Amino acid sequence: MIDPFDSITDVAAALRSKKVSSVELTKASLERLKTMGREHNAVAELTEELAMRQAQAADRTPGKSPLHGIPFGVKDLLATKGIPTRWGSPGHMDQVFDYDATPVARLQDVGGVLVAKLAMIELAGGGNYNVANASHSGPCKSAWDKNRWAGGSSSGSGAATALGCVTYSLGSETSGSITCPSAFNGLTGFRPTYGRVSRHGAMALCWTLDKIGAMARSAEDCGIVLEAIAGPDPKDPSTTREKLNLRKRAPRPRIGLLKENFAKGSACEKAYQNALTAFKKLGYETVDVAYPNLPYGLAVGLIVDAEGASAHEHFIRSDRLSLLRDINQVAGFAASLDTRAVDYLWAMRLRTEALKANEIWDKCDCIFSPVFYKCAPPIDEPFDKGFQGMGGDEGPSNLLGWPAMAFPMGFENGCPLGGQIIAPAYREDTCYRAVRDFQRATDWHKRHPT
Amino acid sequence: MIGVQWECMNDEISRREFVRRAGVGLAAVAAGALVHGQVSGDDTPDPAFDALEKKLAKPLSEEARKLTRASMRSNVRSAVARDQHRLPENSEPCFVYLPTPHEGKAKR
Repeated sequence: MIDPFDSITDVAAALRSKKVSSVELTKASLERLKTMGREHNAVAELTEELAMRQAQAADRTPGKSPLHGIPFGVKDLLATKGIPTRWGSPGHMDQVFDYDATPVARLQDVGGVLVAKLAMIELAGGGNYNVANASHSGPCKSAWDKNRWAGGSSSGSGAATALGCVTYSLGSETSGSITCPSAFNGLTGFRPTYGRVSRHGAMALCWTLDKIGAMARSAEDCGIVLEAIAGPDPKDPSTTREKLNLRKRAPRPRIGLLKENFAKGSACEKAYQNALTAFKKLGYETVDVAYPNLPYGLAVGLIVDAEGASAHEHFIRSDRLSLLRDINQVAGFAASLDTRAVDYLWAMRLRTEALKANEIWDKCDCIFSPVFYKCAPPIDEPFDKGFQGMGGDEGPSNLLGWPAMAFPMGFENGCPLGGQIIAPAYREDTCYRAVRDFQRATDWHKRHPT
Repeated sequence: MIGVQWECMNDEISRREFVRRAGVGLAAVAAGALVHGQVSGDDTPDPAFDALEKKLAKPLSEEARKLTRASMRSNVRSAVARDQHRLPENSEPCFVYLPTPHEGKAKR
């Protein structure tokens, strides 16, 4: 049998050489999901029957993709034909779609084996959750420490992938939902440019901000997955025709550094400085940069309020609203009905003004910053307490649809700390190259929970 | 900054801000006020809240009412906060409506 933490490339090689079969891999993956996955509340639904059928088919046919025959999981926000898609919500327990979301279909088309729908924060946290337990599957525990949170809202994708239950998974991000669980579980997470991956069949929280991305254990694995799911889709008019080329030949990117606000001598400051040293040893140049001072966060908040309220209006106005696990979400969604059109349009006009933040790319090719200043918070503490001093991205990256790749860069109290490389729109290749180079020179991404 | 404030390194972070940074979603709400025992005026008549509650299928629980009122107050603070950033006159939102051509099927 092969190591559950092997890379996609290694697993694909083992499958090609018949060292292992897809059926064997799938059984092992299901076993880990049933034990460790469930212990961490990372599983929303196992897709055992479908997975075994797909694995048997993969063993019968020659693979044309590196993903052929490899088990994967998806955030339970993505529609899967005939299998419950509950969006993490106790108010959507009976929901079953009769089609596959485009990213799921694309992975299955290249021979991927869907083993599980993975846990998520109810309705992607659009009502402003305050507890880890804001999910029908319970509080999702970090792969590294069951007393700490796995992050959200792609919680199960983070924990299950870091636990080696699946080789890779899909998550989604409106504002932080891929980078956060990637950081808290020591994963590499790839949030692509808005429009790079079809949102068809994904629960809408925010039509103009939602992105689907890959969560895996290295930049190279994330790249393979992104290449499989990216591309135009007539069912999602927001998808771009801009071609994805992760291996573009270009000079080594110059890294921009924002003014950080570390607690002096903190584990994160040390991890950040060590990562910078590693980048410099690799020949990367750095330059200090700053975003224009604009209320990016306020705009994101208003856009999520307005679009989330509209996307979920029927649910919010139904008697199922009270079923949500976190009462803060009940209140948040109810109040979002009160969002005014002029406020939403102010946010969308601010977004136009925020485009001037693109001037930062005249000075650098990418930005390196910690995802958070601390490791995952305790699972039983409300976030307004547990998140003190966490820091986090205050910039325009989600508002402007920029890509980012989160990656592990150190530890604090035995739990991972994440950094991220942010790049201009459509320059996923810059994120990919910088993190891939970093991971070739370091081994943080090769450390796994025991 | 909007919502309930608490110390975060040298800056302050609201619950809205937390959720934005930490992996959301996120909508209105700065319900932290309740957590911090700062909710006031929940017994006073509030036509906006009453109108909102009428849109819902059933009345909210008492706790949810308090949190929703706190969220609505946060919405008001958001509106005030955005007034402090004056946009360029005549600027447009980041989307425009693009009419799509349609070939009629009627034979002429």
